[in-house]
Amino acid sequence: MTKINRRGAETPRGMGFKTRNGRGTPASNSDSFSASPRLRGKAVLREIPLHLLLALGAVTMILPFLWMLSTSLKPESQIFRFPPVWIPGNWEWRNYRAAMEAAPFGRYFLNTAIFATAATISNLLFCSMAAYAFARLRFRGRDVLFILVLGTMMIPGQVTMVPVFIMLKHWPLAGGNDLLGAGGHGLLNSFTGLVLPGAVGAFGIFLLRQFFMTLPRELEDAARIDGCSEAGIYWRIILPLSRPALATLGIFTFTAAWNEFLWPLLIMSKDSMKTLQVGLQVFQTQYVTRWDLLMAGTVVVTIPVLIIFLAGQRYFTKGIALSGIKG
Amino acid sequence: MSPNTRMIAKPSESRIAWLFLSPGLALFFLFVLIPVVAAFYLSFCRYDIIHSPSWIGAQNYARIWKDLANHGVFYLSLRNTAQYAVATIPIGMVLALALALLVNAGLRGVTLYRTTYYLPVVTSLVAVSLVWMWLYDPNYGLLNYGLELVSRGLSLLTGRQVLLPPQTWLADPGQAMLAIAVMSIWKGLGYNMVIYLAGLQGIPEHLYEAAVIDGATPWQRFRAITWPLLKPTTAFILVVSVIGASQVFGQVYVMTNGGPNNATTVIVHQIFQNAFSFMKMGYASAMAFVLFGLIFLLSLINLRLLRGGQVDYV
Amino acid sequence: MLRRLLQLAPLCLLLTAALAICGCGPRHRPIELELWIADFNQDTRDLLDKQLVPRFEAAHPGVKVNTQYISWTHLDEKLTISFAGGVAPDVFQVGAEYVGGLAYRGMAQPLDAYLEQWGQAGDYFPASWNTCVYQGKVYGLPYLSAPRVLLYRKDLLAKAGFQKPPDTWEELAQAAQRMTVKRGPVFDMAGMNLPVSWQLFVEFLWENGGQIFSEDGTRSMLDSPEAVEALQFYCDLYNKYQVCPTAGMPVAGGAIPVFASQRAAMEIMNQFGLYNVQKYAPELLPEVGIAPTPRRKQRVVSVYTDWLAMSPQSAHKELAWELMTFLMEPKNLAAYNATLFFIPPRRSAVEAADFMKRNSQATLAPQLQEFVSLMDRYGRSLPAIPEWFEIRTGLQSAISAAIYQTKTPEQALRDYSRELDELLAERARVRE
Repeated sequence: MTKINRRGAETPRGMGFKTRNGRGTPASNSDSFSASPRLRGKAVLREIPLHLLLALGAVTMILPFLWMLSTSLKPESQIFRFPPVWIPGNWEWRNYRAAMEAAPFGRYFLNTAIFATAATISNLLFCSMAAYAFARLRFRGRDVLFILVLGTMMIPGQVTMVPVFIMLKHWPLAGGNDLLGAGGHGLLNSFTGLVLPGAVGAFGIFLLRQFFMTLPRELEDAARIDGCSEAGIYWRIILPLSRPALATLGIFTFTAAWNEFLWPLLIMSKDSMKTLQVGLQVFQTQYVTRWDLLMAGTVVVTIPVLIIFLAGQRYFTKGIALSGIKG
Repeated sequence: MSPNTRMIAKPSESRIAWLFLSPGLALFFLFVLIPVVAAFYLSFCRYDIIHSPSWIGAQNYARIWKDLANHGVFYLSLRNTAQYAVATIPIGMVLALALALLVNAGLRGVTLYRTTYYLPVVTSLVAVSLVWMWLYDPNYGLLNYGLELVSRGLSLLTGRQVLLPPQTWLADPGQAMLAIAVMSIWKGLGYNMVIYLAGLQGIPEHLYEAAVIDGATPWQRFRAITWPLLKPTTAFILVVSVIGASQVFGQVYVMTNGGPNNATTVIVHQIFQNAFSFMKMGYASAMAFVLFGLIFLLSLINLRLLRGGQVDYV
Repeated sequence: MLRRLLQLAPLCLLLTAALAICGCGPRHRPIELELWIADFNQDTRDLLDKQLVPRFEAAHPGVKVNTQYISWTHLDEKLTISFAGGVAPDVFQVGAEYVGGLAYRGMAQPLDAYLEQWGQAGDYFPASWNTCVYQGKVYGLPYLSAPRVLLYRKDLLAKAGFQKPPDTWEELAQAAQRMTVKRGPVFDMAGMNLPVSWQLFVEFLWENGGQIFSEDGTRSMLDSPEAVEALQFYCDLYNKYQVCPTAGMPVAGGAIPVFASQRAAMEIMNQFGLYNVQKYAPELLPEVGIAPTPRRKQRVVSVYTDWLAMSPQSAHKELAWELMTFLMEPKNLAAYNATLFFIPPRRSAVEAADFMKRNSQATLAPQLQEFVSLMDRYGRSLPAIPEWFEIRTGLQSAISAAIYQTKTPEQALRDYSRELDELLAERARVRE
């Protein structure tokens, strides 16, 4: 009974967020909330068909991954077979070893980790700052600027890659360039060049701004009365309350950076600077693709981002819920 | 007190606002805005990447217009992109909603289901495209194998010889785009599901309780409570999906590279090809801005359509 | 103007200094040459990384070679953006259709000055050499060649009553028909295994005495009677004589290609046809015959060559040239081609190649030598035109339309010819 009262009575329309004693903690635990009333006794009977449906769907979802796993463990001779072989004759764990040894994947792993972490941190930091300004502060041209930011999401990245590339190459005082940006190779083949173009994304600004707008102003107003500066409000009140949204953006950004292919391919031309996705290309040559090694490599490359997701998924649903996209 | 009025106004708010904005905005300005402006300028030029761009006015756009009028390859890519959008967006959204409702029904093992359905989302597009190419292989793929199994099953059941012939999928001009669409639905399902889940969680439970007391059936509950209150979520998903579908590229590039016979070339694929293979960067930029115009228009329409419906329940 | 803007924009940023420090590299480094290879497998990488490149570096102290292996799928975008940014590789590998585009846009360095000194140009097979020539100037050195010939089963042909391989189109159709065995719509033995490919059409076109472009390369000749006849014959093989399946025969279990798995009696293929037989059905090798593709008005063997180019942006052209000629040394070239099973494009390399030696133990050698002699006598390569990338897509559509009978050959070629004329006319317009 208590649960229902808390949610239904006190939450204003459109906000999933609740305050209790000035500290903000979402009141519901997503795992135990249900859209339809719980039935006792008949619960198990009710659940079986639902479980069946979901399980069937889940198996369909997973099937390609099972196939990936299965192929990664097959000897080459069993890959092209009809009917397809699911469980390989001998489990070729050495495919994994061979895949990792075909190219310096350890180095690629490090590069990708640096790239993804830097992209995530910079997005979280700069997007939240900009989102705070858009959500809470008033200044001339605010709405126009925001529309502009949103509008850029509608331009495909492929046409901006060349200008960005040229810009990075002519970056002053980097990579052997002089003050006017000539002579060296600028920020190409560097982490800075890899991270900078994606350091602030329109999507992040959008998501966080929507979320900030749902936070109750009472807290901030109280803080202002107490003499807190805007920066203080941002740092000490807004950010801590935004943990779910930040976790969500963090997961999105990390995943996107980890799986990014085209930009790292174009900007890096040194083996030591490649990322994992680019590195996997080594298994695809013009006439032959080593499917067994490619699948093994792909499995290995997917695991870290899966771990990140598992770790952060608690916040995930809450984060999206609280971004005010519901209203 | 309306939530939008501030109790105390700060005098130097503007200055502080810009301070907060500056790092993000500077990076955004430099790496997003300027390249977009550059691309816009290039759309009025002939630019083969090697020599300096030369101004040609609206010739690129005229060429696009002519292509559309003559049903040329850009027209085909528009048509294919539209087919892709129509194939993936409605089904994807309906399935995602259904899944979210199922998962939200308070079953045990929600985390497991959520993770499973989200797994395709966290995997790289390139990897997933390669695996699906494999699944669609006419000779060794699981899909044709599945068809064979179903044929056999049906033959057993009905006692007659049922043959579902193996398809060429990605090599067949009639099926290729559909095949890519199915793969894309699979990949994006978890993402939309999670957003719908979040939307569902924002619906106050007491509304359902009241409805049950009034004797409403599950369908009536859905129609009167769930669906209206989900409208903003649906709007968000729709806008994002339209933007995403219009810019589809990765899977087409890996799986079919626009073939067979231009059956799967999409707008961004044309842009990419013209920019990097044919070295017609100006023309590619023009196509990009035509795409932008289309998406912008569609987004406006979307938001207009789904506006209103601010439902209030006591 | 635009470039200037993009160059100066970063100057406004306060973060410039801080970020620049992050991006700085070491000040003193050795001279670095960048080499891009697109045809490779594990063996190639071992050869280049562990043998050839170290040898070159040892012979040139203070020089480092950074070898990048870039698959064909991504070569175009990497090349384009690198040239745009002014960081093009010193030496890079490209394919048969590239010379026109590269030369036209100034992306490949004319090598005539170096060639005079080098004096080894004559060692190359003419068809391979011409792949690197545009408007009289040479823009690269051929690296590997693939001639397309007729592969046939001697035993099946003999059973069909032919003592010699088919010499003309009529004989080809006849032989294929006699060797085809069908069960209803299913082919048990296809008379011919042919891909639906614009390259094959071009070969038929040449055999019929036709051309793709006019002499000066400004007009399309695809609507000429010779072209229509060629496409008609190509389509007839599928639709009238019905000697090959259109959708492509399913590959046998274990991914054994059609010819090697004995489900086709003939095929028009490059040396990989032989490679497949050796790999999957070596006992069949003695029965495999090599012949030039049948002629109508002239005999033609089309040759596709991948080659190495030098970037005009290279800061070390002399060194780049030395790297190229080093890789082209007969033994090195032979070793490279051996890893990929291609034909080395120069005679002395063929002599040096173990896998092609006349007196070698390998059963493949005499057949490979056939490839070489056919390439030498009848070889012909694509004309050098800058717009090949666009052309091949359009041409492929036209061919498919004709073969799948959505258009008649005449219609398909007429429509595409018009498109092609426009494409070529655009280039003339730009010149003004």
